[in-house]
Amino acid sequence: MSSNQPQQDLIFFTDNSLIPSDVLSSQASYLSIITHVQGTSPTWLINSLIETALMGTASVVNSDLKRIPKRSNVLVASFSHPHEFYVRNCKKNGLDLSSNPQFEFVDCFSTLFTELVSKPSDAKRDVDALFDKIVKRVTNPNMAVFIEAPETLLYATNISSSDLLFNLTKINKNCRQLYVISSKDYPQYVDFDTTNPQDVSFKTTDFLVKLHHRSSLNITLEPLSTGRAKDITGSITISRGSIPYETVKVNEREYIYHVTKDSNVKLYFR
Amino acid sequence: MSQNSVVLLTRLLSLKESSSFYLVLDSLAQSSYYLIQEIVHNSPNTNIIYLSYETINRPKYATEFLDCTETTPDNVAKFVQSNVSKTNKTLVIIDSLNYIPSEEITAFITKLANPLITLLGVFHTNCPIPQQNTSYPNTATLLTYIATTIFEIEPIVSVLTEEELYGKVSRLNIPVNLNSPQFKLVLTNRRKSGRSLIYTFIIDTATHAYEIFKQHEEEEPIEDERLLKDLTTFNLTTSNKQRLAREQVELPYMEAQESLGSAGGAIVYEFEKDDDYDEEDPYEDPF
Amino acid sequence: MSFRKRGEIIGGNPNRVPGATSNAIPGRTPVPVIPGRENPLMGRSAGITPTRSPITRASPATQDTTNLIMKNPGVRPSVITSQPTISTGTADLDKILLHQGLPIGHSLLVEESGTTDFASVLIRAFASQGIMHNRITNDVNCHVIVVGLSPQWSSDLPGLYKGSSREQKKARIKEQESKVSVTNLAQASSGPNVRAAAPDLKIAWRYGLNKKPEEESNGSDSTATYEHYNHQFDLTQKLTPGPNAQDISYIPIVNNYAQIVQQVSAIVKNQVKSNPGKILRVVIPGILNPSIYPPATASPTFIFPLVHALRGLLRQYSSNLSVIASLALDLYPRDSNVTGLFENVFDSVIHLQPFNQEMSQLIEKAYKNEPSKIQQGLVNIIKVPVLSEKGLMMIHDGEYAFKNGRKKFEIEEWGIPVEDDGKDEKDAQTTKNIDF
Repeated sequence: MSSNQPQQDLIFFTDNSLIPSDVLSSQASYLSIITHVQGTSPTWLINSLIETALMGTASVVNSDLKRIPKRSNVLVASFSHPHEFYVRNCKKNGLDLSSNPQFEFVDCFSTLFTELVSKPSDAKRDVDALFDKIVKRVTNPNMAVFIEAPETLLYATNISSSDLLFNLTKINKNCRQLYVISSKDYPQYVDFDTTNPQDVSFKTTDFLVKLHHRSSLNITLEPLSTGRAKDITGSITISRGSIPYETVKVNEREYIYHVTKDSNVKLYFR
Repeated sequence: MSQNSVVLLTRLLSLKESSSFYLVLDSLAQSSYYLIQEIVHNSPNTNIIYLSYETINRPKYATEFLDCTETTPDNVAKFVQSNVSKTNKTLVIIDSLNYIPSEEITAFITKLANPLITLLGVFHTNCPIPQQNTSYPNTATLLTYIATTIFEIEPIVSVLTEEELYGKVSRLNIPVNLNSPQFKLVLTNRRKSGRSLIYTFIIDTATHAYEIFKQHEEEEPIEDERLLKDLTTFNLTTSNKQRLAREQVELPYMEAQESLGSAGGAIVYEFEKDDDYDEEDPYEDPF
Repeated sequence: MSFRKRGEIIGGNPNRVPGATSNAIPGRTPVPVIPGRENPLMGRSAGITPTRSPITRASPATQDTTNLIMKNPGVRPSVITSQPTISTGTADLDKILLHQGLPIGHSLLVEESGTTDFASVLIRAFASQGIMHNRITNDVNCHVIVVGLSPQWSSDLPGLYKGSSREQKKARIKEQESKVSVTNLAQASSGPNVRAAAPDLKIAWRYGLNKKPEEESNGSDSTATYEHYNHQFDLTQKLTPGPNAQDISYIPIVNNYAQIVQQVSAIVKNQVKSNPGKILRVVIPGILNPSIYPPATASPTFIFPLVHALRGLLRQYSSNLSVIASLALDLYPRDSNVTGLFENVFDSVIHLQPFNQEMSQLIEKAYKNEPSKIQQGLVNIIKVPVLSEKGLMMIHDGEYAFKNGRKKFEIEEWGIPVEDDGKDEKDAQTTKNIDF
């Protein structure tokens, strides 16, 4: 299937970019959502976006993007991976995150439930404080901020979906481009038919639906519906969010992609 | 008749029709953003108070903007009442009513009521609905009951069926070509007389054009018939009477499929009195 | 030289610390600090996590630590990523995890449907494997931490597979004959690194002990180079000598998850401090099993922070720590929130799915003349360490089956056997496997 098709560059906008410069320098703040399920981890995509925010290129997924030195600052706050994970995996993108002054990492993972949120059954205050600390690290409004796996808090603590959404608002107000990366497995994280507000999947579904209503760009990764294929990992769908961008346009598209164990990525039109 | 409906729509969109509570029902397939822009476009010289539960960027058209995430519904109501314009019309936009618990929603709407205000509240229909302990109606039911005008927004689906579309959206796999400036609108307007008018439109917010939506009836079977008529000299078509009779024929294996075949085509052996089962024979068929 | 009971192997000497001593604990290379800026390498502001001293600080593993760990006889480089990897104690499980084992710093969840408990076979082998690494030399190379069970579990651990009955007889004869010189015996059972000078040449020649192990220098052949990497375990054999306090610790379940995490963390910290090259194997058999875990532990605010914190520990001690757990899907089905989150937080997940009665009967019939071919169920691969995290789709459903034999737990490719007509017993050879 894929061998007949020519390889494609991954683009999100009609100006052939993944992050338009207009967005990074705009007055308005935007939210983009990256969702994924079991079997299609978005690590390669996040790292490419970090690369393009920092220096314009996205070598793993797009050979056309030009280098823009010191493009923007990047802040990554992860609830599922430590700093080391990003440093190690972004080497593939030609980045040395451990010594890049434009890159900042907030570790919301390593000691999340042992120090940061030590009482998960009564967590609102700790969670608010944690997000306040993240907001303080958004020093430059033209930063690209990535929050990975915040839905972990909905699962493991008593906070409500509104608590989490309002905290993300605090961050989004201070930066031009916020990316939220979340799992969307059915039925554990997304189940439109859930009815019990105490159930964690109710909280995560409510969270994800409301989050999508604020989004300008939706990117979702799924395995192939036809099952496992040797040379295809899954599909990536890029679609407009509920809130349009002011000056740029999303290039809606479905690709199928393949990731190798050396983290090489090939993309094809679907 | 159709002209009247477009006139009604235009009047509603420009806040000229007396209707105090606009409820906008949207979904992940089609956002309310463009409709609100259209209303704003049609209502210059209006004092617009924007109550935000989820909007990050203050809209340019907003005269007042309040971040409701950091305050109580009571304070929100107070804010609105203190900012009502005495000279111009006031439009109060609530970007999402989904954040207010169902027990508080009616009280909240009531507190915002004011003869000088048109209240426009958006409700996202894809959010999960909590099961109530009491028989008190849920938020969607309440809102659709008290609203004086309801704007139900739907995407213009062409490639996918509604089922397919919902299937994808419910897995948060938002297909392309949604959230468009062109969309379908089902308008319900409750008149003071008690009557409800319901119309369906296609709205193009890019050109500000509104059209009545014409439902395409099931034309296919008739077309097939026409094709068959002139093919040969034999009568291949079915008359209406024949078609009715055909639909009433009971297919022989339908019932069987229902009871026995529910195991998916499994062959079910039913051991009967006269069957002779030899327990010692190792090659006897299993049941 | 010391006299000891035949067949018993010396346990680890508590006073010996192999390899690096405390003054050689690998430190971090100094980082240039840009004046006016917080040290970029820290990656966290002081307000969020407290700074730690370099010794107990989180990984990245420096080259020194990696080298040290690779010297541990229970460690080999992964065949796909070259990172330090340990055996699960079941060779076929090592294979389907693709790395030829479980990479250190990662976790494995074994899910099981139905009322069987094949998962416990795998978990017990994981523990025994670690303890076997303490029986090679005097070094204590591994420490096992058991969460939830009582110390009686130690007597349930499988011992080494001693070979078929014929092989066992041969071994006994060999032992009798070499009984002559205890020196010989001592040298035969010590590791490849410990070659004493001049064993009795006559006997050495007779038993081929003089032969230089040339296979070891061919790096590519896995089993030859990493001689003590994994062992075969026999369910019917008890691990003898049983594990001692150096080999194993037990942590009970309490209602406060932080306490459990703290206890695991304390043991790991102490063990690594005294021996930075040590492997820690945490086993959590039957997680959330009601006979071990009280109802309060099923609450999302207990169990999710617990497993999340364990993941944090794994990354913090990514050169030393590994975790295995088993989960009964009958209690927590795959579409439940618990299992969904576990599958997210654990680095690798497999699902043992015993055959239903229909399929079992079909297989038994097809292999009635070759009972050794009878498989008990499917092994579905859901997540593979490191690769799944990178974004590869590693879900393999219905491609492998398992056989829990007395000799070992086998996993092989699965194909529904074709039933032969069965009229002729000699025709058993015509039974074919069709790969699905």
